[in-house]
Amino acid sequence: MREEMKSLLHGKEQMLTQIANVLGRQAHSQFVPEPLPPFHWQVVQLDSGELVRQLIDEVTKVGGHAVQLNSEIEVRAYVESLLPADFDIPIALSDGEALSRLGIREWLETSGRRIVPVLKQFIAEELQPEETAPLVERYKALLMEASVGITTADYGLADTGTLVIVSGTEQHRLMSLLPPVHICLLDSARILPSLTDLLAHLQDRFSEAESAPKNMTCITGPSRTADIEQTITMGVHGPRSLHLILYDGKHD
Amino acid sequence: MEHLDQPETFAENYRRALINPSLQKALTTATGKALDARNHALADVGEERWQQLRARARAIKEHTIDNLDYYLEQLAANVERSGGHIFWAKSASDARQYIVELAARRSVKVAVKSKSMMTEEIELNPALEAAGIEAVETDLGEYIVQLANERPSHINMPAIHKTRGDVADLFTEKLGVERNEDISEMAALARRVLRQRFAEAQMGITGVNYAIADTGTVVLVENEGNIRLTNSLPRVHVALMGIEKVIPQLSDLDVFIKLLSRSASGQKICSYVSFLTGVKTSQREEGPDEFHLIILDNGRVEMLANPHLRESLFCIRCGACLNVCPVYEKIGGHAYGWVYPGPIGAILTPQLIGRERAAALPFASTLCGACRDVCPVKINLPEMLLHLRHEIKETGRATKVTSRLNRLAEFLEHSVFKFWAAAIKTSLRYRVAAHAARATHALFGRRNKDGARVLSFSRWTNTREATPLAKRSFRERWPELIKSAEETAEAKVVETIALPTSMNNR
Amino acid sequence: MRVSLFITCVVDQFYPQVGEAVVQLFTNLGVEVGFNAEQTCCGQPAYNTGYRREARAVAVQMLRLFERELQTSDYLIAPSGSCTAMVKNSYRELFSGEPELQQRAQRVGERFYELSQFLVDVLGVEEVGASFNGRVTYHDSCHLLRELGVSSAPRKLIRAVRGVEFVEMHAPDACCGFGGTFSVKYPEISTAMVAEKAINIARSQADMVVACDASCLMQTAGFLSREGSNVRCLHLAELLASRNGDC
Repeated sequence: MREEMKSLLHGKEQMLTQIANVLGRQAHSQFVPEPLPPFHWQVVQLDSGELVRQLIDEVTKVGGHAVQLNSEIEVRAYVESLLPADFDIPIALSDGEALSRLGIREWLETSGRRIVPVLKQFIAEELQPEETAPLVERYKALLMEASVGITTADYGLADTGTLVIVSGTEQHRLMSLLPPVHICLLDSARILPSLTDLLAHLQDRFSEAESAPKNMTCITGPSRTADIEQTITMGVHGPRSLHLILYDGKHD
Repeated sequence: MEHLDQPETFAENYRRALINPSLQKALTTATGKALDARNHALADVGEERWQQLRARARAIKEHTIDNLDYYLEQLAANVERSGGHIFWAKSASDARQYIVELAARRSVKVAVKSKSMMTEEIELNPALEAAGIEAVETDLGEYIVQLANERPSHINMPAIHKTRGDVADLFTEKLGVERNEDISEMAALARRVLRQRFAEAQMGITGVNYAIADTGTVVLVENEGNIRLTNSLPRVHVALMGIEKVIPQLSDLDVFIKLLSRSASGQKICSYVSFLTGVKTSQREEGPDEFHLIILDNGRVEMLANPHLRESLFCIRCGACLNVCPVYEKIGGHAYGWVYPGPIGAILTPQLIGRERAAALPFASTLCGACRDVCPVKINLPEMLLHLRHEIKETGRATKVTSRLNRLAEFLEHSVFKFWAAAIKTSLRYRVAAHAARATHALFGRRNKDGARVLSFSRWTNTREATPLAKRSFRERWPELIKSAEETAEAKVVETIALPTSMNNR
Repeated sequence: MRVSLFITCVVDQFYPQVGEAVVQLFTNLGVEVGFNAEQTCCGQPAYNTGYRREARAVAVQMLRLFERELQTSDYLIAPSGSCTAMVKNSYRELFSGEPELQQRAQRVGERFYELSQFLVDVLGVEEVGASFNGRVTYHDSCHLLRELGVSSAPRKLIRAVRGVEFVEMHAPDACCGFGGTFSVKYPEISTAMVAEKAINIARSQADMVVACDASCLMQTAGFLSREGSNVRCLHLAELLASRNGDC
């Protein structure tokens, strides 16, 4: 083990020293480069109504569906229209807070359908790795059987029609990926103008090891490929359809 | 990996490509579409802002490469701080060994892979196979070329050279399914087959698009979703990056995302951008148990050491230079004989596998400069191709082919230019050489279509009429021309066109 | 106003009529023309093929010649984008590590112009009294377009020729495939590229294709002639020197 550590360090030492020398420096020089000046990228300022409209437009342009709904009933009806007739087909439902608040969770959990919960509910307590491993496999298999995954998103990016999911509170990494249909709820107050704003907004959070999210995914439209004759086809690996439901978060 | 084109046989490679009509059609269509999409996406941004983005991207790359040791060290520290492992691999075999040994320790039987030129570069798949591990390519294009036992022929569109018919044949042969040319059904078939492999895989192997030093975050971009599956489902995630993939800050990423997708496929942003920082601390969290980032040299430190070629490290693998290159459009990716095709390939290959093996590549260009115009990080590709040409001729590194004929050709070419240099040294010698050339034409030349005598050089005249040497050169006619001009000037009525007055500093 | 011609080795030996046209053109415009017959070649063929040493040797000589000419002329003019780019841009690189030569090359480069760029940007003329009846299309030579940034000047000059119907071909800026020794090192690729150019020319239905570089014309004319095409290939100077509706 110590040999391994030594050789690992040696590899690092060697490479960094070589690079430093090539760049005309001594290794271990404690040299800290002067960072580049910041880059100012002008964006047209939009009000919240315009942001909503732009997000809806852009999501539509990339082949997603986007609606702005005003009541729990409307949201429920929209989600229902996307669920399979066969109640035995699993539906994946994440633990996004809005899903409870809007009554979706209660409705689905009492509907008689097979609901796949998030992993931390699927595996109720800390078990030994040998015990959790088969459960994790079972979980993945269930998600692969599911026809719909319902999650929320943490942010929307208006100028590209992007939904942003950040790991940490909600477990939506696999639910937004494995089932062929992804329904995603977003509070319309959480729409940012662009990726530029998102990265600025999250800089502090990413900078601390304790707070940095293990995974963040920017989702723009359904999964697609043009690898055969440059002909676009949807859903080759990720979801083939993406439904964004914008709701008013203030409405409680 | 039998029958793969090699750079040494470039002449044969490209000739075969030129006479392949379906390849020609595929290349023209694909590169045309990609370029149109790119131009459309650029119009959206506007020329001025596009140039601002390019300038900034280049500045970031220059700054990072100039301080590469600092940023790599920062990156490694932050990855380790958030629970990842770092391996510093000097060579391809170091990287391969690390991965194979890790796979053995974790009892990996199946590894799923996403598209990574780096893994092609280090020839990872054969090493995994030799260790009894099945390596499954999951990007649809890569999956197709893997089934076909070929290399990818484009940086972003690996199966650009295949028609739907080719893919249908391939699936029938390798997967035993009924032949079906419907593209969406073939994609659905691949999805089904690969889902199963994803479920079985114990290790996921990806490349890295950007590694952010100040947060220890690895960024991966894609349209299909297979990268997300690769880094989310298996228990172990291994990511490979060249030393040049690091960028300083999270905010720097924005510029590159804006440039990359538009340059590659004309999209504002691709379907999925994943930001991976560290690993979970509980089995009840999603994602892999372990994350290993392999930082690889494999000849890049040497590239860094060459001030003329260093900027080839700026490349973000967008593929735009391939799409715009008139040579790539004609010969396709396989002809280049290695991992990286097109203009950037002609610059990287000699540096990474040696000038001797890849000596032909920098010369297979007219230096038209179209690539430089589209490069999002403003790499001066023609300048580097030229520099490689100088290096190759200077050190006399002829193409490493067994053929004595090639060495003879190199010798003859250098002799021709030495003779040329001597002939143009003074105008007297130049004129003598010109007269000698005319005499040679007169004695040995054949009549061309217009009846003029030309020295037939089959490499030209196989497909083109040769232009004859003029009977009297310009300099021989000059004395009459100047006399006639002076006479005209004297007789001339003064033009009413206003011309700027002569400069005073005579 | 006096200009000194750098006629280029290709024009000198293969297309002297282009040189004649240049002289004619300047004479018509009332500009005095000089020509130093000591000139040979800018060095580009060697430079592009990788023979730096040979290229540098002739470049140094030409540099001295250009400096001498600039003592009695205001500008140096070449009927070639690639030779102009060689002098203006590549000499700096060729003399890298030799700052004195670089400075001298810089000073010469500032007074060195490609023909069409000179006419439009320096002399400020577009209409030169030429006339030609026919449909003309234009091919952008790579160095002229991308190294020197010249694209509108030749078009303005062509459009101003009385009787000309200017048509833009598809992809006028696509490389013709000459590329110096590329044309004989990789003849099949070179031919495939010029074949595409020929298709675009044919589709434009032009009677004539004009370019500012004789090497592009050599390539294009060579192919078109072999294919039996009736499309003529002319250097811009020849078109601009034409009178009475024909040239």
